[in-house]
This record gives sequence, C-alpha cells and structure tokens, in this order.
Amino acid sequence: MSKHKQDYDEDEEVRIKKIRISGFIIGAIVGAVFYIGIPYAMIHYVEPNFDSYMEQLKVDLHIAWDSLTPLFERWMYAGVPMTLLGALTWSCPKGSRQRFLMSTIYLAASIVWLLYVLNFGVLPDLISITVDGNTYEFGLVLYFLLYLIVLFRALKILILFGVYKDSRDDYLEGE
Amino acid sequence: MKAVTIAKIARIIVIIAVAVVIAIPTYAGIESFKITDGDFMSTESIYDVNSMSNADLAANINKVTDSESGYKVSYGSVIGEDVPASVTETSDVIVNMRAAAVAAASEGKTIKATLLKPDGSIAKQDMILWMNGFTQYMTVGVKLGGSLVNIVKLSASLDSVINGSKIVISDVDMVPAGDAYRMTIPIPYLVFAAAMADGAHSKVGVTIGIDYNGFFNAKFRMDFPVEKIMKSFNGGGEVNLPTYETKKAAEGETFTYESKKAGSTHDGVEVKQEIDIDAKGVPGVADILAEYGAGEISIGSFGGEGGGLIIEVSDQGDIQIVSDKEYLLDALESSREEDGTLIINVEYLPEPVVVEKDQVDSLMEMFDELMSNPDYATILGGLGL
Repeated sequence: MSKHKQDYDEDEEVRIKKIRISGFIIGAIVGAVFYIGIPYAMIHYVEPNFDSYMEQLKVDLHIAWDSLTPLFERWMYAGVPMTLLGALTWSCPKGSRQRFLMSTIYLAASIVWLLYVLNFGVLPDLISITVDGNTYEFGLVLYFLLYLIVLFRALKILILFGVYKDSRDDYLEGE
Repeated sequence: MKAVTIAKIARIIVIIAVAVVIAIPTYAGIESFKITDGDFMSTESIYDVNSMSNADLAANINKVTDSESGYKVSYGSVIGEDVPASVTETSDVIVNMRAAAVAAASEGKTIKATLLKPDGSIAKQDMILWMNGFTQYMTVGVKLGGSLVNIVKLSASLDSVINGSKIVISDVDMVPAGDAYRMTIPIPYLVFAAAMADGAHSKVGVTIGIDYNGFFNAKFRMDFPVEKIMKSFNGGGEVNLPTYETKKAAEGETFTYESKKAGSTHDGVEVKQEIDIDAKGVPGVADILAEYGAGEISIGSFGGEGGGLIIEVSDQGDIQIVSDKEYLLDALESSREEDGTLIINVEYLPEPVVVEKDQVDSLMEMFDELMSNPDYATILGGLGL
C-alpha cells in the first residue's frame, strides 16, 4: 500500500469517528419519526379519534381499521431495526466506503421492510371506507407489480453510487 | 454533470419506461371499462315482462325479428310457438311469455326466451325478466378494452351483511360476451328479509374482482344500505324500515326468528301456528318489510278486496302467518275472472299479474300445498324464493 493511500485510509477513519455521533442522532430522529412515530400516531391517536374528527367536520366518513392496524403495526415493529440501520448509515460521512456499504445494506433492508409492511403483496382486505352510508372496500394482491416496486426501489443503488462517486474526492480531501 | 445526477436521470428513465409500458394498457383499460348496459339496480332484457307494457315487449320482439314471419319463440322448454309477422297482431306471444314467466317464477326458476330465425339459428336469447314481488334481476355489462388490455376475470357477488355476518345471496361470475362481460344476478327480494328484520344496518353489495394481466389482483366491493336498494326498487319512494334490534341469534350464517304470538287473532282470523324460521340460505320478507315495516303484510291480494297470504311481522321481528289455507284459497277462487283467468294484485308490481286459465289450476294446487305446510321457510321455497 502506498504512503498516500495509507494516509487516506487513516484520515477516513478519523473523519468517521468525528461525525459519527451527530449523524447517528440525526439518522435516529429521522428514522424514528418515519418508522415509529407515524404508525404509532396512526394507531394510538388517529384511529381512536377518527370518527370524532369526522363528526366535528360533519363529514359522514368512517374507516374500518381492522386491516390497516396490522399494516401500521408491521410498519412500526419492523421500523425499529430500520431506525437503527438508518442511524448507523447516517453516522458515516458521504463519500466513505462505510457510508456506501451501509447505504446499500439499508437499501436492501428497506426493500425487505417494504415487502413485510405490504404483507408481501397480499392485502386482500386493505381498506374499507364508509361514505354517506355506502361502504367501499378495496383489496389488493400484488403479483408482478410487487416486483416492479422492488425494482424501482433497488434502482436507488445507482443514486447511492452516484453520491459515493461525487462525494468521494471531497471526502478524501477532507472537504 | 455529477454522477448522482446521471444516476437519478437513469433511474427516472427506467421507471418512466416501465410505467409507460404499464400505463398505456392500463389507461386503455380504464377508458374502455364502461358499463355497457343496465346498471346495478335495473334490469335490461328485451323480455322484461315485469316493467314493460305489452306494446313495449312486442316492439322489442318485432325489432329483433324485423317484423318478419318465420321466427319461432321458445320459452325454455315450456312453450314454443311461431312468431307472427308482427307480434302486435296478436297478444298470444306476449301473454304466453308472461304466463311462462309466472310459471317459472312459481317453480323458483328463471327461464330464457329464445327467438329462432327461420333457418333455426338463434336471433336473440335473453332471460325473461320477471319480478314476482320477490325476485329482481340485476344485469351488469362491462365492455373491455382493446388488445393491450388483458383483464382476465371479473366476478361479482351480492351479499347481505347482518350484524357482521354475511349471507351470500348471489355469487355470479361474469361471462365473456364478445368483447364485453355480462352477468345477471338474481336478487331474491326476500333475502332482504333477514337484513330488514335486523333493522336498518344491513347492506347489499357488489364485489368486482379484477386480475390485471398478472400485475395485480384487485378487489372492489361496494356496499349499499338496504334502504337505498329498496328505494331504488320502489321508484325512489320512501321506505318504511323497522328500526328495532333483532332478537335473532346469529350462529355463523344461520339465523333464527321466533314467533311468540301464536293464538292471537287478526281480523277475526286466529293465528294458527308458531313459526320458527331457519333462514340459512332461505330468503326472508324484506320486500314486504320495506313496504310496510312491522305489522300486517299482505304478499298479494286477489281481486279487489284483501285476501292473499298475509303475514304479520311484529316490531320485535317475529313473523307469523295470519291468513289460513281456506282464507287464501277462497280469495284465490273468488278472484277468478269469468274467462277463468286469475288476476293477482301484487303490491310491488306496476301491473296486476294475469294468470291464464290453464295456469290457474297449477297455481291453486301450489298454494294449496304451500298453505298445508306450516313451515314458513318451505312456503318461501315453494314460492320460488
């Protein structure tokens, strides 16, 4: 290994240590809000109070939460490790190999998370809405569309690589 | 250009390309997904003997035959006869068609009428729509799109949801008819009985399942309150619904109604029996309830004054037969016209039902048999319900 390359690697380690805490905290907050806060609010605040909200708005709209609640629960429970992964990813600086590696792992995990939340595409009784006495139910079972969603999500690897490529020099030069 | 920008553009291009490939046929499918005939709460048939006048019915048949002679009409396997050059020249075809519908309904059947061309090929085949006060037919047609659209299945079901339990009234798959799908769902009015007896919380719904070219399978279900259904059947008029909570005990899809007023009298007629109705798979008396709410209900009257099968539904949901066998048969007999035909004024039909002389005897026998059986469910079954 050349002296120049060795310096870069040593510098990289130093920088990672420098920003780990702040990035971790920010990543944890963002992840906690999205993966835990939103579904928690839906289950514990929106759902129990939805009918009274609608009454106040004088809107004859009711939602059956039977099928949505499990979805939000899956969202929240599987969101705990996602929050942790997100925090770890954010703790690595852009342009670092660790950041690219963690981002890739996070991306793969997010695909699994999405599949799990969507019950792997099997949502036969997804939502039931009653409006003015009429009830409309919608169920969905995804086949090929599920693969497309995964594909679109997986394509984000291109962006991750682009970010890595663009940030690499700045990162190595110490910004 | 930054690598991340190139990556974003590349990703968007891929997504757009895939989306376009999917969106074009999807858009075409949506554009072409149209109800072609009828709607969810109406009937459509050239042989709608219920709502059509004789002239309308004749005009429809003449339209198909182009007023040419040599056509032959058959009503299932019941009646077959030649169609004159114009069916308006004689009312026999229409009258016989109505009679065939009455007979089919009384046997709990639906029949198709087929117009055969002079060469024996089918000119038009359609169901004889007959609303006997208990059964309505809902015809829905959906026209699908062009070659890019590949919706492989459409199905519909009609359910009544009662206190969270569901009774499947009809479950019909749409069948391809050229580039369209059509289905005809029989809606036994009396199926609504259980719903009505349960108060105003029951709903009737339609489910449409779509399998879109292997991409996804979607299910849409639309539930409508029974009152709205009945109002639409009732020309938008007010429907008097019971608002009580039923005493029925739900065990799966089995519902039991208990009558507790045996021995009471109604207009001097003693209630003969206490009736337990196991309504599993057996329709109830919703149409009647929709008309009257709780209280005395006459399924039909014969002639001008009363008679017919009278049922009393208490405000607790108890159902009792008020009229007895002799009462009913006397009413039937006294309602016969001089020419032997029988005119039945069914409350929910726009026109009286005319039962031809040769059909009256079998109808009388049917009522005789029905009224000899105190089991209300059997009576409903005997009425073709």
